[in-house]
Amino acid sequence: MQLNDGANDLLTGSGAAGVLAQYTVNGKPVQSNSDSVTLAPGVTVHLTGSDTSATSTVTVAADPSGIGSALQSLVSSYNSAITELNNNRGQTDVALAGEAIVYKLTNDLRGLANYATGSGNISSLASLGVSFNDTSGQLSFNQSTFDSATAGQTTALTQFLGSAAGGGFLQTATNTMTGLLDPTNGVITQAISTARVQITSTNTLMTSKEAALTLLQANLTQEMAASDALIYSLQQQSDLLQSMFTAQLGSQMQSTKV
Amino acid sequence: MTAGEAELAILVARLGDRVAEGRYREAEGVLQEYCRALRETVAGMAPGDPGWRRLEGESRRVLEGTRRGVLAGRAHAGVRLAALSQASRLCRSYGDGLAQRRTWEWSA
Repeated sequence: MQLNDGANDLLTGSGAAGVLAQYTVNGKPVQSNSDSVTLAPGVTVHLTGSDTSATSTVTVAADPSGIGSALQSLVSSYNSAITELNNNRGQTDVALAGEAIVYKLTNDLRGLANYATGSGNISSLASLGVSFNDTSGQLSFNQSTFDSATAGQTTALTQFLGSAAGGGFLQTATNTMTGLLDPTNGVITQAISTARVQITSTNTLMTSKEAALTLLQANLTQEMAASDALIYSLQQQSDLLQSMFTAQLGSQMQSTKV
Repeated sequence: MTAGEAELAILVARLGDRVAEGRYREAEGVLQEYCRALRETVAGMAPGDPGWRRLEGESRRVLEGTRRGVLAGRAHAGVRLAALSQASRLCRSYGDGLAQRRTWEWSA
């Protein structure tokens, strides 16, 4: 880089030029233009010295505590969902009373809570400290049970959990949630779509009925006004006819006298 | 039965139909026709003809019957109107509820 005033260079050529960071990982030399180096996904080290003979050992180990926290979150979310579902069950006046989706969601979530592989040191959520209460339908998480079950069982834990697309609990959970939430075919998506159609239809029907109601009210009001007019007219005609017949009687009496 | 009396009989039947159907405006027109025909019939009678007595009694029965029919129809319409007003209030109540939809409810 240089600065120039149009005639002369302003910066003198002093100072040492920088060099790329160099380090060795498992005997393989590597260069980097940054002091922050990513050795593996999730493993980043910061180079702080320039001693070419110094050696640093980076030890990477699985940390089950993060999984424990995730399970605790799972339990909390599960319990919130079950509580909401329970609020919509029964004979009370609730929005989803009698809707099949309440039972479908409950069954799917319970299936997830009762997930078990049937083999291995860690074969179910229960073995990880996640227990199911048969009475309340709620889950609870026991940290001590989890710590005991996962101590030295990294491989078993990894196998049990699996991944979103690679089997295990996570794939089952992913498939379950996809079945519920898929934007096109998800159970909840379709239920919402059906409810929207029903609401639209009901609103249309209500509008139609209200219009019919208004028209009927107008017709009845007119009918009452017309009946009032007719009653008045009947009274008038009755008086006129009475006068006519009275006159007729007088005329007849007069002709009888004559 | 004279031609006039025959016409009166037709008009009486028509008047009864209109009242029974709640078509009071048309009934009023038929009533006017009936009274006109009655006056003409009575006017056309020979002096001393006792037939007008019978017509007088019959016309009273017609007018009274018509009046009762109209009053009954009016009362019925009033009851229906009151019921509709109550239904209309319920509709408005439901309409108020729409503004308080819960999150999972939806309106087009």
